[in-house]
Amino acid sequence: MEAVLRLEGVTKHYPGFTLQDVSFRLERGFVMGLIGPNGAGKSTTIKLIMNLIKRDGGIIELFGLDNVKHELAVKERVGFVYDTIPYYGMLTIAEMKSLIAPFYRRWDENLFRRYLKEFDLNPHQVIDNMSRGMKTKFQLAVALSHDAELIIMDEPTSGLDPVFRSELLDILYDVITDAGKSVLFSTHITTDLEKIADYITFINQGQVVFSLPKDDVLERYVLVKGGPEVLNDPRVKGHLIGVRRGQMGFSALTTEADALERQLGDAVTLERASLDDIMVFLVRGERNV
Amino acid sequence: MSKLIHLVRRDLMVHKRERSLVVPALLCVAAAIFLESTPGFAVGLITTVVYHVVVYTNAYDFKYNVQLGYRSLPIPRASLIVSRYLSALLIFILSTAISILASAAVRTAGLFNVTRGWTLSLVALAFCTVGLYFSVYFPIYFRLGYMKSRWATYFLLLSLYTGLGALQGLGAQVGGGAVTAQIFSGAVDAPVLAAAVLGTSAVLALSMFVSIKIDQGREL
Repeated sequence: MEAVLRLEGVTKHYPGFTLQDVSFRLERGFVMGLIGPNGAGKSTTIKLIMNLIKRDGGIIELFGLDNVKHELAVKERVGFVYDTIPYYGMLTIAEMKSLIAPFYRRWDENLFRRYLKEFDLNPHQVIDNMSRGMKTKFQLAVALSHDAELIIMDEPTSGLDPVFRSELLDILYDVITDAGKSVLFSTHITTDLEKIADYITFINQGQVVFSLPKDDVLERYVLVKGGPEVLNDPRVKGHLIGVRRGQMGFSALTTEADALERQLGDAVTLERASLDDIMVFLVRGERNV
Repeated sequence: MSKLIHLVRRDLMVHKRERSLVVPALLCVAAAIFLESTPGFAVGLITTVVYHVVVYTNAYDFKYNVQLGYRSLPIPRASLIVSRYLSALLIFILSTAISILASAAVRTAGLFNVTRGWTLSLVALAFCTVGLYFSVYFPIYFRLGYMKSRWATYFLLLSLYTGLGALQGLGAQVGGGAVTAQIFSGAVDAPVLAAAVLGTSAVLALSMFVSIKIDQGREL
């Protein structure tokens, strides 16, 4: 399958933070969630992909092209949605569009108007007077109106209320899946991804913990709960990730659910872990190490 | 080329809804009035007008984090730099034109006892002043960013006024024969003016090259 985005051994050093050996690939027509706690390296990764910062090593290719050598060709085919709108707030939607559109060869004015209507946006509205959600929708309309094949979204739902987030995700799901576009969706609100993501790449402390199909992730990691005495059982040693102790017992993550169930029987209960659980316990596990 | 035009259009359009152009317009008129008594100050006012508009444009970029958006668009990086120089040049042309019109209007109406208008040598001096100022301003701005460059470029503007004042004083002292006196009286030979304008243009081109180099190493 054709990779629209490929990162191989990407590194970036800052004083006090290093993005190390980041590798993952996203294929055409799929949605990848880029998750991780604040400061994990998600935005740095996106800035590297957009060539807003320079990588110290590794390969970044979009549509099989190096993102630095073929920067303009690549950016023609990429749409972006950032957490805060990077456009002049004193201008109206129509004015800002008139400044952006000329830079895209494949800009489709009719499509843009259609998205404005669909997203309930008034072209004469001043950007500063729009809600955060409307600003995100405007960015999305721009991203979709120049026939972008890859949409890169950096925390697009942060700061939005749950109702608006859900609405935005529905729009994303409909528009993007219908048009067969690929999406890289960075967020720390992992519930957003349970709906729309096909793949999950989890970054923590500048390193990729895993990059897998979402269903594989949800299958691989299971939530284990049990009484405090279970923690003293030598058979659980090395099988629990990010143990959280409480008065009544413990909860943890495991990738050895079958083995634990076989060996401990009713002493433990196994539950499906959400992406949120997986992220929280894995981060906790790293800290415990 | 069309991308450059759209970038320059952007630099002008961001002032559309703001009152930030009222002050520059008044300064252009003030420059027309001050031509009579202190032509060096009038030239300084034109530089201030260009400074004001450019700084506001940069401030809007900073306030709205527009660099992030524009650098994510398919625009050559050098175009983003060159367009700022072209915008400054365009603002200089517009402000000088407004001041020339204001000067003609004031003289025709017989206001403020103004009898002197803009001469070619004063316009050339204004171009050289603006050109040399922004040859220093832009590399500082692209190196340090808006917040860190604010005070440095402001004090640079103040020292430019001091320089122009000194130049005017020197012209008054040495009499009609010296070049400085000729500039303010409007009697400079065309080859001298052409050399000054070409020299300033060369410095601007060099500054543009330096700014592009600085920007290549810049990260957001």
